[in-house]
Amino acid sequence: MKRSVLLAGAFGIVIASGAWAQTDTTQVAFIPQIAGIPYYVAMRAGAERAAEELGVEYVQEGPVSTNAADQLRIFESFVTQGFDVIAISPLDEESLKPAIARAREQGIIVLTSDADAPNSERQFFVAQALDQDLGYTLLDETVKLVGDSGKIAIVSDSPTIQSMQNWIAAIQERAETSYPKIEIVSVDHTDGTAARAYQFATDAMTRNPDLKAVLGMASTTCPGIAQAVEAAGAIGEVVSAGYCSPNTARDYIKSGAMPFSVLWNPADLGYLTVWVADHLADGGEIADDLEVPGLEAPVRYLPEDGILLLGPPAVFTPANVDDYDF
Amino acid sequence: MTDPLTQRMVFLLSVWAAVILLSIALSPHFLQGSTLSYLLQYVPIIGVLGIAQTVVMLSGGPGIDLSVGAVMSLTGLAIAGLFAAGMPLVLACLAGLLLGAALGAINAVLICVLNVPSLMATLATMFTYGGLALALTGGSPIGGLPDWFAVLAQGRVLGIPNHLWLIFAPIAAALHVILSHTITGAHIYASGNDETAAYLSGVQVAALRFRLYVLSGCLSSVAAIMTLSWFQTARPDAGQGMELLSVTVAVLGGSHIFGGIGRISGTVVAVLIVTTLQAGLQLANISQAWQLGAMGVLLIGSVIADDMVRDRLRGRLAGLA
Amino acid sequence: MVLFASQSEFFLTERNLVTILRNSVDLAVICAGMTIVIILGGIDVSVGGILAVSAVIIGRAYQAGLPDILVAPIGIATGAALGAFNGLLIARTRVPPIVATLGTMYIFIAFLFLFIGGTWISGLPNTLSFLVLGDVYGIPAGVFVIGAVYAVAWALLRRMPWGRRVIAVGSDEGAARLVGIPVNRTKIEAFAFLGLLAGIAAVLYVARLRNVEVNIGTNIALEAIAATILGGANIRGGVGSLAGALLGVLFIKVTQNGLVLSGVSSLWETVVIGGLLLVVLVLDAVEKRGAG
Repeated sequence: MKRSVLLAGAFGIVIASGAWAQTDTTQVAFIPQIAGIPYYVAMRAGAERAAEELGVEYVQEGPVSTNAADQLRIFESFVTQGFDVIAISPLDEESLKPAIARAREQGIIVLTSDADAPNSERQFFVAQALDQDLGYTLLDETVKLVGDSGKIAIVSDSPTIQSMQNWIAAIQERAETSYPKIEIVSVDHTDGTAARAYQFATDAMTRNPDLKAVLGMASTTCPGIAQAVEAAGAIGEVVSAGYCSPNTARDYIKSGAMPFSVLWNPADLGYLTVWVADHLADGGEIADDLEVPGLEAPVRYLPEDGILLLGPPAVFTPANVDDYDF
Repeated sequence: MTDPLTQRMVFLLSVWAAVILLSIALSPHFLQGSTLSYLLQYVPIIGVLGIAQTVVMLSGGPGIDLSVGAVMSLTGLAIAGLFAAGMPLVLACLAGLLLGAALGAINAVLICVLNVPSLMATLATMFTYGGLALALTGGSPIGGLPDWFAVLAQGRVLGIPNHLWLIFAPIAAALHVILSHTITGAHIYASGNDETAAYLSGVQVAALRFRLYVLSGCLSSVAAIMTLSWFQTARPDAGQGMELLSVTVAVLGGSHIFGGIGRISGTVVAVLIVTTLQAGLQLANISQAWQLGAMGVLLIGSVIADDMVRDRLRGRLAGLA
Repeated sequence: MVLFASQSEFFLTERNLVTILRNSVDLAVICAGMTIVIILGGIDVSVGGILAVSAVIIGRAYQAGLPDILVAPIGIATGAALGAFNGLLIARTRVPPIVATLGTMYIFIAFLFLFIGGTWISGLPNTLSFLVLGDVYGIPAGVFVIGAVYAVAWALLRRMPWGRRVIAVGSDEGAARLVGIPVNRTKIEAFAFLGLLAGIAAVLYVARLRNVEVNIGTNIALEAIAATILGGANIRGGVGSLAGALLGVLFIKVTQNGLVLSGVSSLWETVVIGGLLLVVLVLDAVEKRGAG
């Protein structure tokens, strides 16, 4: 391992003179769970803003499908390229643990962002909110609309995505402890297409004619479940909601099929990720709550778990949905 | 006049060289020492699956095994599950190999005994095995494999990952020898070329193909074991997409879908081409979508080039006659 | 179906059956084309990619402000063009269909990412939604769409000389060529037809979901092949049934729906479909052995 670092250094010096790589600027990479969805595009916008302000080089590359092996490949590519900081939203923590450990050995700073790998050697988790809080908020907001008794269906993406499994668990736990009269009738997993989400939502409504709500865990499910409610003519009877970006949900929020959506501002998350990356790369430390110039609210720090919290989730309703563009 | 197989080899090696040059041009990091191990990490797994696909294709039929990815996922889970239940890891791996063979045998029965076309049969088993892998685990991986096991796939000697020279190279070499220097090998090619003629000259075509599908299942379990060692976890979607990749690699390596033509060496170089291409493009931070597109062009291009070469050879032959 | 009906009282409701129908339209449309291609002796695993690229073009067309009248034909034409590309590749070179379409699948996915510009296209108008969601005199519109597509496909296959050419090529390509059938042209036409149907499916998809995302169409090729085989087509060519394929589609969709209604985890879906395929294949094989 040491020898290859030396070799890499030697080659690097030789080739750097050809002026391809700028190894004096901090290089930060982020690996989302999948490429090409509006959520991560928004994150990128925020991240690039921070990168420009801080003079940092930022690259974002994600797999074409939610495949943990592909994510690992991309991670190792960044390690090989010698990036200073690598942030990742892991699909599956286990597959990444050995790779993260190896990266740390090489002196690379590893962060998780958007989703965590709590048992790995990642230094910090830049979080929008705690998985638990996300689950609780969604259920709480739903209960505000439909009352604290009734049936709810959950539609999620692949079961191999750990963060979504956590949200489902949080919702189920919240239902058990705080709303015993709420019954979660089904949890279905799509193949990542809105079409399947549509199918599952419709089937859930058929099977439970008195269904009160359909909750979508993945942004990929949003258009599907909302459209299902509209198509079934169930606006007002059935509530669809989820972690949906305003642009995707706008029409449905206005029509009432999806009265609200819970999210946070992914641009802020991207911004914070790059800011933290730059801070750590410059040798900074994090010991307490932070004031980050460029973000409105202070960032909370949870020392026991190394978590940096962006803030409370935002709830998008007909009143405010037009203020956002992502 | 060079024989077509050598021509093919030269073609493949030049493609590989071209890909390497392209990768160097795209990213300075390609020439780093650590790049070699990054690249070679992926070779054994795709390689083993590609070899499995190659032998199945060679024997004709036409032969194809779309279930290799699913078998890989399922046996991986079985091994991890058995280990978690207390069975010693080595024993669990052996059980995994047996399971792989059994799953392959199911394919074999369908294809060789019941005469179900291989595409349909292995499509059905792919759905079934893959579905079982997801359904039985609810999508959650089974983790907790010990660190000593990880040495197999994560350890390196001279920068080359262990599982390459410990598992992949021997298997490739063994099968290469069997195919080119033994009677069984000759029989396999004969069955692929003209199964009626082969049968009439005494080759037990069906029995031979049966064994090859079982072997394919077994090799898929080997791939599973290597993946387990690499991730130290069994994921239910480990093999997803691998079947198409294995077909890509086999065909790129010169094997014909309808059998009779192909070589292990070609497949090996094809694996190197594909992994180098992926690694090279990835190091230049070119999105995966482009990598796939490049593979598609490469695949089609190589088959077309192959045909053109053979046509020219045939033309030469005709000219001589 | 009896099994599912017994497991859930909601299965046989009109609403549910209509739902199943609506969910089946995309797959059914594509299956009509896949059946013809398989009868021809070919196969197309890139059809999901064709669907995706067509959908993106449709999305972009809407965003450019084009009216429905233009958007739908543009989408359909895109599908046909991509299908023709497949056909051309397969007819002109000796690349086997499965390899060719595997390659084009990769290429189409690359196109998809190129055109979609890295994000979804959302909030598309629902002006065409009636095609899938609407009713005509109380009968769901989907019935008419499927009916129309299958009627045309059936006519092409069974009533017109073109269909006989397709069957001939599928049964014995060499003989077909000797008899003077324009094999290459027939192949191109068959694949183009499938592409065209994929374009139609793309229009229907966008009409229904009003959203275009990057993994549209991931599984549809394999599902279509499975349905076609369930319906009796033989991969070797020359044999296949449109009605059978339609039944195959309904079978798959009914299974998916029935499982959810019975409370079985959706993860068992693929197992059930795979198992059913196996049963059908074995039964078929045993039957053939008995007869021969």
